[in-house]
Amino acid sequence: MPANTRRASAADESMPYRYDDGVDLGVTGFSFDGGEAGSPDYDDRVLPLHEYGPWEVVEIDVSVTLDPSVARVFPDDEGPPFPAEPVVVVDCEETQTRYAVSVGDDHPPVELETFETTVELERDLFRGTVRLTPRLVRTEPCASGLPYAPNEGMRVAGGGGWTVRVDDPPEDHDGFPFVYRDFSQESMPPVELAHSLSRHPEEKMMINDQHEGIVDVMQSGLTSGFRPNLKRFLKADFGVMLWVQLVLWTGTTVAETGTTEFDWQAGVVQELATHEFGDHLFDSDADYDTVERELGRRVDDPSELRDFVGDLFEAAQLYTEYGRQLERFVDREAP
Amino acid sequence: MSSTKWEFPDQESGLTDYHSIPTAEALDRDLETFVREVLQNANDQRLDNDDPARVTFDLRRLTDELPEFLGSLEWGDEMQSPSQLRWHVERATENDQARDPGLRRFLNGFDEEELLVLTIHDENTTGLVGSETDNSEPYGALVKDFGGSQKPDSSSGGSFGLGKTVLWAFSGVSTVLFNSVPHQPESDHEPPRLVGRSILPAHEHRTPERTFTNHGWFGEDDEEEIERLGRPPSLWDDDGAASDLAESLCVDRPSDRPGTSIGVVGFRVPGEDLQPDPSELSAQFRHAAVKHFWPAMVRDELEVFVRTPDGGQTQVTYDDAPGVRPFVECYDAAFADHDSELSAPGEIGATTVEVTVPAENGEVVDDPTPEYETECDLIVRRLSPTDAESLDADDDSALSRNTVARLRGAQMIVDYVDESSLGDRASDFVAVLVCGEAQAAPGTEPSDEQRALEQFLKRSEPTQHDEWKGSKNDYLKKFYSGTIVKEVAALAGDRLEAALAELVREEVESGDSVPDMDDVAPVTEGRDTNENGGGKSAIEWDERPETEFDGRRWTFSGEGGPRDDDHGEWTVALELVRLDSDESTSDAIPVDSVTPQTAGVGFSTDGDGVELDVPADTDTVAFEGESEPVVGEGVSVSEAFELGLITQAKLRVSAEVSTGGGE
Amino acid sequence: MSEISVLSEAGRDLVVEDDAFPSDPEADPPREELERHVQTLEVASDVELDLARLHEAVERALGVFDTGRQEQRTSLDSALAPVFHQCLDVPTRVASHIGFWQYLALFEFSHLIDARWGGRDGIDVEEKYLGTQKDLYSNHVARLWWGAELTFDGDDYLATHRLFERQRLVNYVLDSSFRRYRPAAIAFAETLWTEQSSTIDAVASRFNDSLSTIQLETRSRTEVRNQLEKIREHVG
Repeated sequence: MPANTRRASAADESMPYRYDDGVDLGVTGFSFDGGEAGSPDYDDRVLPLHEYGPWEVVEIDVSVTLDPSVARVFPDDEGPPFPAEPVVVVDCEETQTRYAVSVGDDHPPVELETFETTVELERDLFRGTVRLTPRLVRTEPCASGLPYAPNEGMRVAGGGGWTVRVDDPPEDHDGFPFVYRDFSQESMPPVELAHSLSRHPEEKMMINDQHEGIVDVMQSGLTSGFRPNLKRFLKADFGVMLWVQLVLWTGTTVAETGTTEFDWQAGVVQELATHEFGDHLFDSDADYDTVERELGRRVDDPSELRDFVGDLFEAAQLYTEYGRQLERFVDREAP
Repeated sequence: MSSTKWEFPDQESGLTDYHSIPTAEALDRDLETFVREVLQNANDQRLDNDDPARVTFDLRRLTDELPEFLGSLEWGDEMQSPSQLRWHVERATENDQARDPGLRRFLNGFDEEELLVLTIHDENTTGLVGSETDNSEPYGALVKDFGGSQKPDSSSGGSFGLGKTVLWAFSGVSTVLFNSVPHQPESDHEPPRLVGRSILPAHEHRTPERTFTNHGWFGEDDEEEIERLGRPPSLWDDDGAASDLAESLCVDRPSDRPGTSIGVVGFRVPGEDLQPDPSELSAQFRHAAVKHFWPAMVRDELEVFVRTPDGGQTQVTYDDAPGVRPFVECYDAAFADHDSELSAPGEIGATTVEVTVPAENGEVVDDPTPEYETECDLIVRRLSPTDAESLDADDDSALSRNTVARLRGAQMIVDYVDESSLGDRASDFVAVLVCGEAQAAPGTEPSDEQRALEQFLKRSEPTQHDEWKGSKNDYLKKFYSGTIVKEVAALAGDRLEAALAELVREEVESGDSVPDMDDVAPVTEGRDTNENGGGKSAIEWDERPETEFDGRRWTFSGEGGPRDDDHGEWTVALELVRLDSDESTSDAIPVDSVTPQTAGVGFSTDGDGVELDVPADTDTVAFEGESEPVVGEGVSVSEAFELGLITQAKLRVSAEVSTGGGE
Repeated sequence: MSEISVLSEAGRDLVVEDDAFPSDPEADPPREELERHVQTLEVASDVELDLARLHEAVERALGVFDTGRQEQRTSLDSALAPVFHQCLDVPTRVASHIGFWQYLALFEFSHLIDARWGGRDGIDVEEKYLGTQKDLYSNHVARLWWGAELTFDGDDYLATHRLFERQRLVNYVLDSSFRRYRPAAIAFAETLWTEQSSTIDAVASRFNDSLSTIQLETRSRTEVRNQLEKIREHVG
């Protein structure tokens, strides 16, 4: 493909019959073992159960509301009430568990209104995340046929779900995983190396688990005090080291091959192109392609590289707010 | 009908002992201390039964009733005499050697139209037992001697016996009334018994050779008894006199149960406004009561009520100091089995803190206890979001994260120790350190070790009972021989920290991930490919590509062209696919035909899809097309769904535009 | 409260880094080193592991089936899967922990895995000991247990037996997403256990596609079965 080609894509997904998105799943609250109640995160539609505990059973109070727009998926002569049933699908990938909870007990047929029920989850049967998804499902065949869903058992309407977090989401799904390494193990870098990046495909920051003091700091979940303050600063410090390495790695790949090799490298270029991180290194309005080209050029040319590394350290420090974190640390911990 | 009077004993002038204010020590106390000490007295004097001690705070602003109150109090009229209180108060303010500015201020501000009286009723308590002269009983101790304390057992909240002086410090006129139903009545009297006491600076007698001392008593005007005791005796209810008087003095008993009603006349908080806001005071009573006495409340040993100005009364609950809730959770579970690890928020774990109780000094104590090596129980709760909310909802900085509440058998929190400097792989927590007789499960007898530790810690408490103090504590050192300072200090210091660390510390091994590091370098998700055609997509759609099922085939259409007019040849590839159960793409649906609506556009089939080839001079193209039939011969529509032939489908469009004179 | 042993991620790394095991058929798992990476996990519910009975069953089965022959290997799986499920009485929360299966594979049943998978070309034996959190068919112990868990019906393991009789069938079910709905997994095994691989593939593909409109979780086992039979007829 010639370099001067621009690509674009578009897509359209469609159901083969009338389908409506007017089913709303609401969570009004949840409580554990008939006692302590928790509060849902309404912004992200998440129930952070992992922040509570220990518990054996959680009861989640849900409501399913059928919007008037849902009427359009049924022919005029079918209702209201309509021959369908609202359900909440419970799905947990990790424990291979998937089932539907019928909402309310006197359905079908249904009016377009709000139904309430309680979804009970036994902790022993779930791990990780559980998805709750509302659906409206036909309970009889449709005499009119298309464009209406013709068979019973077909979903004719749905809506956004909620995520139930039974356990802490695994850290390394969100970022470059930072892991403790025992450097005394073979195939590990020498002890002198306090941190490093391993090669493709998973970039890792390594902290020696023998450094008890550092481990204490990094493991501290406290919100105030010496260690949490130091931890905030160390995170900025590690951030600088890591970003410098990631950018240089990406730059050398671009210099060698003309483009990025891995998704994360494209991500690094994207980060540089869209965040203030890149403004210190490139034109602030440089687009992705420009940043990629420039990055390759500055890393490729030894005379440019010297300046670039200096600029890069500055940019990474600004980006991670290194100075502010250090200032805060000194401010709070000075004797 | 018996009459009452005030009597201040007098002494020869010049004896300087009386030129001091006995309540001076209590003058810097805040309302919290007041509530603590009042409740502690009631809690200590709880009767030995299954019912809780009940304490009611009743704050009244007297206006219409004030003349009757003052009359009953023998406050005094224009025709003043030393048998009336006002006479003494006015003279006491003139003592230059023992100034009590609060007293002066009260007198200046008091217009006899309004007066605040706080009455504290305790019920199911021992009451003021004892004859007029028996100083070993509570009554005698109260009326006679401020230096001693009479409380039922060794776990009681007081060691120095000055607790009650706090009452007078909170009276603008330094006068407190007591109306009590003792649980063991005096044989020849009908309860309740009523007595008042005032503590004022010494003041001048009518004759200059004599001086009135600090202490004044209010009681029955019985010359014979006054002669015998040097003060009036308490007024009993033998002819209903005490009950009637108590009612007009706001200290009438709320029930027949034993206990005492204490009236603080002219209630004020030392150093604050003379006219405090009753509703604000009420909130402070509630908060302080819960903050310090939730252990007794948990064990159903104490209940506290606050009476509102409208006559209603409400019980104090944990909601009045929400910050105690996580501690209550800990303590509630104190006698259950626990893990030695806290892996999840809201989990409770337990460990112990070692302590050596030194041997008692045989020269001071009869039957001294030997040295005991024992331990306190430490219950720790890792905070859940609900806990954090509770702590945040409380303005009191003592009730915060990473704090240890300490208590002994008195079931009162001695103090809250800040352990936020502890950070060994820890998450936010709260803890309760249970010591001494509190370590005995409800319904069981404390062990000898627990009793000894109880006594040791109790003796280490200063007057306010708000810490355990080993250093510079001569009182404590008098009772023991051995290591004292270090043992007391360890319960707040290194040993406590070590025990906490053991419980909240998480083991980390090679390969474990470092928490909360995602924001340091998030995995960036690769490049945004403008899937939705928004932003700076190379193609601008006049009509976005769409697909629709017509009952037999999938149809599709769209119209658009390169955003940038300076372009070379361009192509649009179209593809239809089925979606499966996970809404991910499955097999292709072959395109049967496509019709470019624009002249000069060629097309070629590309597998199951189709590609439109557009010359450089064409800026937009419109297209329409359809798939091959998805429903085969002899298959009904209904069946075609069951067979997975008619499914959700996706139209995929990808365009490539050569730029910069690509011809 | 119960406790189970699980292999940590570092232990997994150790196996990956080990040069001899399992590529050298003579090598045993490096158990001594691995001991350091075994963690104890507390589980809220009662967990019962009857390892004695399980070992006995494995020994007996290895004596009966000739693991040198493909059809006997699948029969071995078919015979053992219900026993593993019965003897390892754990809730799904525990079973979803890959370290639990890795521990069992390396410390308890390495001889079974060696006999079942070892020494054959094109087989990645290491994944039969390790596997990953996401897939159910790699770790051999997990595969046996989960295959039974998804297809047993009360005390009835008929569908489990049928599922394991055809390797293609068990692979397909354990790799599908409809497996999470147990009535579908059972119906699938019941309907297709005698079919050729190509039929299994074709039916599974059509069935999966149909689930873009059909709400699977509201369908009974019989309904799913009827649908699968229709599809089989159609693709046949």
